[in-house]
Amino acid sequence: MSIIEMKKVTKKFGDVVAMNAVDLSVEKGTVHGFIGPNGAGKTTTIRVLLGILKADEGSSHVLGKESWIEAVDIHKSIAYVPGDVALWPNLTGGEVVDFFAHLKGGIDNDKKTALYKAFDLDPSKKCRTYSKGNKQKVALVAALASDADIYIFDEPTSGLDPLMESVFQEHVKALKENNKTILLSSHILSEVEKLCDVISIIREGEIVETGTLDDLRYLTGIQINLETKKAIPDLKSQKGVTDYNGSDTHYSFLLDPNYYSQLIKHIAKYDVVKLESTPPKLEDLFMRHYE
Amino acid sequence: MRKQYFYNVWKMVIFTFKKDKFKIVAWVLALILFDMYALPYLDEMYPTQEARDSFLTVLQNPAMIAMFGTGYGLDNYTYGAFYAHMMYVWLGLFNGIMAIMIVSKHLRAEEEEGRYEMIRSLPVGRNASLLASMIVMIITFTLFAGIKIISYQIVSVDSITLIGTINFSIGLALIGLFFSMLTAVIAQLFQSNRNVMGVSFAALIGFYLLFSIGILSSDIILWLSPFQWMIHSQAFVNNSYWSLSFLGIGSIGLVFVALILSSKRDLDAGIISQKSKPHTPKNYIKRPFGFFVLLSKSLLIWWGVSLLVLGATYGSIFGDIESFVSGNDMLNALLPDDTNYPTAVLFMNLIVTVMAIVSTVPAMLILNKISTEEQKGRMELIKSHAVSKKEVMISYLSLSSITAILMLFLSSLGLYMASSAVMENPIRLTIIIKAHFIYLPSILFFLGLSLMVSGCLPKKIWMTWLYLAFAFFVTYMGQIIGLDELIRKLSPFGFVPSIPIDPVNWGIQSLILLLAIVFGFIGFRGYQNRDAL
Repeated sequence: MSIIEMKKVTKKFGDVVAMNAVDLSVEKGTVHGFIGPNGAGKTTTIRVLLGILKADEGSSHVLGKESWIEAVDIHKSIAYVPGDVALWPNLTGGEVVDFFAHLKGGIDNDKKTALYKAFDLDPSKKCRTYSKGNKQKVALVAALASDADIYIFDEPTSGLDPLMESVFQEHVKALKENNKTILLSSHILSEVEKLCDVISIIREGEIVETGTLDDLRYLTGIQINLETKKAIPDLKSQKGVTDYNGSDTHYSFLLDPNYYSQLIKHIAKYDVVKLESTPPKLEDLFMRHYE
Repeated sequence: MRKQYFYNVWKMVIFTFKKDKFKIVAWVLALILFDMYALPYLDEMYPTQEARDSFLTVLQNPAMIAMFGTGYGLDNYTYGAFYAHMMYVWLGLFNGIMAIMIVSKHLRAEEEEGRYEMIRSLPVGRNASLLASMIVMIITFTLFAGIKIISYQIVSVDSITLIGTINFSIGLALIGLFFSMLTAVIAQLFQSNRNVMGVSFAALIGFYLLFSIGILSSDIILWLSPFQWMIHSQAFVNNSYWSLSFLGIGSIGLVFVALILSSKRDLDAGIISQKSKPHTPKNYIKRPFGFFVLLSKSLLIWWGVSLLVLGATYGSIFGDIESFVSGNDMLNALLPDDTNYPTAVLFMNLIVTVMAIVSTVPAMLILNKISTEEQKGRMELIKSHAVSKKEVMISYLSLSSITAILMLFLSSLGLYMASSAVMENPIRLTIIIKAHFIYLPSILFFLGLSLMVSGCLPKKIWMTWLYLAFAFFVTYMGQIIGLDELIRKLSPFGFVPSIPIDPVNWGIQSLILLLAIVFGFIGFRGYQNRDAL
């Protein structure tokens, strides 16, 4: 069984369908990217699998335990950073981190100190003085310092500067090397592209695509830019060619990877001057679902 | 209910105490000290059996019964019986307020502001935070009762026995617990803390009204009110406990209801779902003034209704004002020894002083938004548009002035409607209105001063409230404790004449108004020249 396993989960708020028959499985040791625009249902999905929202239909299991019923047991092995971190204004950042650690039953103090330093966070200040980014850092330190099996980050870098963003990415990579499982919800596609092994795209409460980045690229097709000496008369009608745009001896089109070799053979006789093939960016994959 | 639902509850208890220690200590100390002050104070005011018996006749008019109840042990009206009669229900109300303020903050406010999500994503049972809050309240009110019992022994007044004190303190602690648990249930029902607090306070007032209405009409209604369960312990008289057990049983029942509701619901959800209204653009929000009106809408409504009701409440005792005043040494001391005018008119001026100062509060709340909104970072959004600082100030200044006028008018209206209904020779509406509006220059003085502080020292805006509190103290309380006339003149209210008794010195009133304008002008310049916060 996957470490996170959601099957046909539906969640409604009144008339609004926030999740519609969502299937999601995250394997142990993978970094799973969860992408979608605001309001697509990312946070709702995370809250259901944390067992703080109850699924109307379907089942949600984490580590083989039922999310709603065994929430506490699940939380013992989860570290979670919400998208919008709210803290107690009259406590210091350090007090909050320590309290969270206390609830989880302990913390590695050296790790904690190193994290304060890495994220450039002053734990002795009251939370009311923290900016959005600093509040996020408090939650990140608390999560990263704890010894969990699963790390769930809900848009963790939305308030961080690029420097801190890369610190965060370093830590995610380190977690991955330690065979931890990570669910990273984000709409910063470059970050997901850099870190994630598997990606799920959610749109209006439905998972529209899921797979490795390579799998997904396969679905979209490869961007080809081609220049030949002789004109190719029937290029547009070749199998696997879409989005065709050509004039005389310059062509650009999308190619279904299944027909790669077939096309190469076909164009060889027209004296190829230049052949560029670029895999699609995640952004293109993503946008495909929103056009 | 699963054991897992309560996981880490004791850690949550300690955490709750840690983050709320100041608030809890402040509440408990304030309630205890108030009572420690009142206990000997009332004893000094009504030191003899005769004094208490004669005041008892005043307490037996229906208006007073509705406020304080019928009392117990009237045939042997000891100081203990008298004290419980005067204070028990009211102290109970204060404990209820404390419970609502603290519990709603523990539960729904934490959830609404997103902090509870953090807690819930950790290994903490879904009922742990709720139960922790209840445990905190039980410990707090137990300590409260303990300290109260000790404090009464320290103050040591005759016929305030240890047995009676224990009964009295347990009753008060239990009513506090009852409202804690009730608030916990209500916190499960609504999504926003505003609703939770609103409904909880409505329940508190509702139960008090059941008590007031029940005591005058029917025992069934009376016994629906937890306040009756409390005062029927007959502290300092019979010291019984059976009616107090209703409070205990009721509290336990409420805890169970709250726990069941909480174990079933989603995070951030309420059992009663709130439908959002479709957004319709409102025409009056074209300029900042209209927008500020919208921002202040609920404040205006609540203060307006409150002043109308407060005016009407005071007005309703004008019917037997003579006996009311003659039985009360404190009021007698407050009223001038002027026999040319009926007591009602003298008393009205006393009331109007209070009402005028209360009317200043909403007006100042609105004007002070110039700096409070700025400190919260919301003013930046407005000023980043094509809105000048001048327009911001003029909008707020005019809105707050209109508010002051509106509040004075509503208070006059409430006072007139109620008093004219109960009096044989009612005071004319024009006199009541004039008595109110003669305070307008002084209120404008406070607004001018506030604008000056907002403009020049925006972070020191609390000083304006301190000054208003000072003004209230010297004008109203000053007469009771016999403060020097000169000290009263340190606030503009000290120059306001009683209508129609004193002649109006228009020169002084104009001077106050002129000062208001000068302050306002300084504030204007200061605000235009200073940096945004």
